[in-house]
Amino acid sequence: MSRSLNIDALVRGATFAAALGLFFLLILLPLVSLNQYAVREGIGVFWDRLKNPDAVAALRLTALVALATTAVNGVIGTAMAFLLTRYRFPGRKVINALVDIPLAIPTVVTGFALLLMYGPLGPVGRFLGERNIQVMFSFPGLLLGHVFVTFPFMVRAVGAVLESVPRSGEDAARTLGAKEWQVFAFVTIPAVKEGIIAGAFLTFSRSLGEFGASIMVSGNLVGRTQTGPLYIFSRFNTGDVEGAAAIAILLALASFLILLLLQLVQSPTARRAA
Amino acid sequence: MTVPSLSIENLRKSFGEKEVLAGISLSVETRELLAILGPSGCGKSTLLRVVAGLLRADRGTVKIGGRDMAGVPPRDRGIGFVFQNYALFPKTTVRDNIAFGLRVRGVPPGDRNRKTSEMLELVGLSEEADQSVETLSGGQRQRVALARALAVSPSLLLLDEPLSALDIKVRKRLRREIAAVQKKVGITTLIVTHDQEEAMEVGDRIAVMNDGRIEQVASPREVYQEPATEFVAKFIGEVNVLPGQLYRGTAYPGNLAIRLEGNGIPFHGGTVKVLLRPEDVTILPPGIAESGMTHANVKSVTWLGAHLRMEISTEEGYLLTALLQRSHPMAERVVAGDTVRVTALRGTVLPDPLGAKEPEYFL
Repeated sequence: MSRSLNIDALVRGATFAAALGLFFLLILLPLVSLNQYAVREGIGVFWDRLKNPDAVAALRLTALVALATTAVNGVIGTAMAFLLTRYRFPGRKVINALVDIPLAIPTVVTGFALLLMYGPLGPVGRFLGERNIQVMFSFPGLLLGHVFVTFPFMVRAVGAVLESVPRSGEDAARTLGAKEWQVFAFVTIPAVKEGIIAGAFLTFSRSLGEFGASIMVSGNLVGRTQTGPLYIFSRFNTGDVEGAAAIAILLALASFLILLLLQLVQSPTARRAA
Repeated sequence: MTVPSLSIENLRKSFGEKEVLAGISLSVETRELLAILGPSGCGKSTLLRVVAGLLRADRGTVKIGGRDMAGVPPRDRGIGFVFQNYALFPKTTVRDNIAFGLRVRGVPPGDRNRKTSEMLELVGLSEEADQSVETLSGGQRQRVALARALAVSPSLLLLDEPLSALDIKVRKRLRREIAAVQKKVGITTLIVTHDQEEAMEVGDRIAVMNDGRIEQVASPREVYQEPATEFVAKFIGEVNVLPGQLYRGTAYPGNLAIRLEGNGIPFHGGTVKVLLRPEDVTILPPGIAESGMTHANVKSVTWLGAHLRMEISTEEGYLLTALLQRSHPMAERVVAGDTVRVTALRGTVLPDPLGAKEPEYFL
């Protein structure tokens, strides 16, 4: 009896140690070294690198694209979630499976595909180009890429909540005299609010770090279409390790704060539900 | 001649292959409380949702206050609906829940507050007005739902298994409250339930539903004492069903004899099914069986407090369930294995289409 208890304790201890060790080695240490590189030359140099106009432009663009992506997917992702959970139509299962495709294919491939479609060589790109509308190597191209890559997050977050919400709340509102838009605004949206918030945070933080599709569709034009992650990559390639690390630290911190905020927003409601 | 508050004609609804409503016709008088009773899956909730306009019927008409409801959305039907799972608006106060209907209908704040307070008082929740509905018990939540439904002054109240999510004690208390509120407000009401006791207690009349059809609509007394079908007899309470013969107003299941009362007996001879409630079967000490009695052997005796439940086997070979009052002279003495005489106090008959083919019933 006590022997088996000891083995249990041993296994538990070993698992704990392994998990903690790997966490340090794989996640914490790289972040620490990032921090070290960023301030290696002193806080003054770090500050200087942050104030670099190209860096500021890159960060600004990153935030803008992330916001726009969240807004676009907030609407079409929520709509798709409704379509998939509330309605039964032929091809629903196929569409449901296709929603997750962006998670499965490499983002570079996504970017490449968009480039072939909307770029100067592509049919749509040529059509638009003749009318002086340039999608690729500009903001719309970036947005397109990011919307594609982050599409599943909103759909899944809202869909999961929507499935657990009983329809009777909406029916109750209908019998009480609510018009359809009132049912939607006063009952449905509040009920799936948590899903929308969670989806928005995930979409936003995923967009902040997007690299593969961005590099294909943006053209990586310094100060114009270069996002934060692309800036880091370019700086590193040209040997400016401190410049790369400074922006990297900032992006990592932003992602961390977003996740922390999500936890804070979600936990009280989760507690109430339990 | 007054128009019935609700009249339903030949309502049909199928889900895929399954016909859930197989031609329902029903009429509910003003201020009446009609209980729709049936086992789960019999279509009773579907019927209620069709009346509310939450579901569209394949065929048939629903008239509320004489007005045809075809194409009328739920919000314009003048109904109140109470759901089994309460369907309250979460993270909202009791008051805001009750005021919802008034708010979406654009009732000015003054009138809205007055009406809401009136409703809070009606269901006894004035103290809890500003609490979030999450803090309430199940019984309180359902009272909020009731107040919310009544706040918009509907002409028809629809209750879909309003008590089945509650535990037994709360359920018993709340069903009396609901019936009291219904009488006080004087609103025509349809309540759907699978609980026969609930239907008996609150219903002015009961509509017994089975498999998409209405088997009987009658007062609780009639439904119990004069069930129209064997299903009704078996669904509401316990019943012994015996083969028997009808002769000049008396049914003879074996040696037993039951004088049939009332003038509604539709047939005057031949083979019938005799329905005997367990409490209408009684026993006498062994002796000479007079006319209308039979000899029987007691198979088992179960003490239930107020009643004694016995399984007895008659000499004709019928297995009967009998319920004896505790005050019956033999109640304290009878044990399994005893020989007794059995007699039936009352009963009813139903036609037996198969009876004629089974002459071995008649010894």
